Amino acid sequence: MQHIAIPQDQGFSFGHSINDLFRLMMDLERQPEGAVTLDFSQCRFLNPIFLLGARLIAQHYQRLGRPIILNTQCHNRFFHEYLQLTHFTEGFQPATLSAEACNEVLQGYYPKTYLPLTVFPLGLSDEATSIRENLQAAIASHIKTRLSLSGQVYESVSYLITEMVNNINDHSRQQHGYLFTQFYSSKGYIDIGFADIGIGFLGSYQLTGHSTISTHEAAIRAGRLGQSTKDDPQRGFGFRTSRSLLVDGLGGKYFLFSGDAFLYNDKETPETIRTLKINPLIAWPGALVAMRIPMIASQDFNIYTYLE
Amino acid sequence: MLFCVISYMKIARTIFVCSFLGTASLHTREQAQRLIQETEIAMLHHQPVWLDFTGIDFMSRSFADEFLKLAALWKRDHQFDWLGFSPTLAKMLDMVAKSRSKQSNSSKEIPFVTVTDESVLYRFFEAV
Repeated sequence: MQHIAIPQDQGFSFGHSINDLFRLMMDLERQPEGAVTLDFSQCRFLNPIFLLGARLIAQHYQRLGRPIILNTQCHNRFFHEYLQLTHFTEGFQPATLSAEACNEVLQGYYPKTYLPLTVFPLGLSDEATSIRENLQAAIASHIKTRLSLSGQVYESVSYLITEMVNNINDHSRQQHGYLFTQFYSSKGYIDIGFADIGIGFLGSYQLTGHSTISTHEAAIRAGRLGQSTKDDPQRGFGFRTSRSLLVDGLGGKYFLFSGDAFLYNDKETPETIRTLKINPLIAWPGALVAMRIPMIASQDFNIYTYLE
Repeated sequence: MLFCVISYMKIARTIFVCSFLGTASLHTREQAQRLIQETEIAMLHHQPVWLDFTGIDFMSRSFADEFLKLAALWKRDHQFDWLGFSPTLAKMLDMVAKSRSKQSNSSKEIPFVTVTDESVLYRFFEAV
């Protein structure tokens, strides 16, 4: 059996956790055929965005028929407990609970600086819709009270969560979406990741008849510029306004990865779409969005400037 | 004659959005659809129908867009209105209403780079 040691500690750098995810994907591609163990035993602290990515990339390979074993028996007991409490790797599944029980579980996280890795149901059924609505409301309420957010920062965080969950539901063509978050109160920001292993931006455009969009880069560009897959001029605001609100408004960091292309943007780094043509080739199967959201806004911040 | 007038008159009804949807935050288009459906049913027996948004602390763009779209169809022929908006909800609704009259597409140029070297990728993210 092949073995990949997961990094021990990523510190607080947003970019390091993304680099580690790229490294993991390349390591997996380089392994000879057969089962692979992702070994978390030496880990002390990992960013939720990396953990979310690692969890889903393992699931993706498993779908392709390649056994991936996640060894989460950590020597560091604090990190071991963290992985257990965050329901890593199976994920917290509100669909298996009543709304009241789901809220009760999330309320149990009030003293914590994180929420569990959450697996939310997708689809248009009343049941799935109701679970997502309840979950979004519970997370928004949790973040509001836990972090004492109010006013426009609370609205902004709620807006970003809602847009991401709705986008995954509208476009991934999967049964489940995933989110994972950690609060860094003393540092003044929230890290949150949303992901699916569905059809990605490119698949979403192509399955809705947009055959001229033929690369992942072109699909991300079209989404970023507000081209709705439904060709409805009143749709397609979510991606654009979320990036603008987060980066231009709050001064946060935004990373979107779909297929072999990604978009990264923060206050100091101009928005650019990059396509990966490295060896081995790697690609995100679906869409992954990672955000670092500041919890304090400047005095002249006005959310509505960024929502168009 | 008096009986006929009285039986035709409909009394007002208020739908409290917070308790009807069971939440203080409005996230999805489906929530807007359920609210409008309830309004539609209420209008069979009551007029005017008021939607009271008191206690709602967040409204998503999706909810606002769907709500305005459906409400526009109903307001033409029926007597219903809404109240209890906080200033922030009013702004969201106003902003979405204004954007409904313009195209969502932007024409901004976004630079594009092809990454062929692994080390370049790592260096980029080490810096952010």
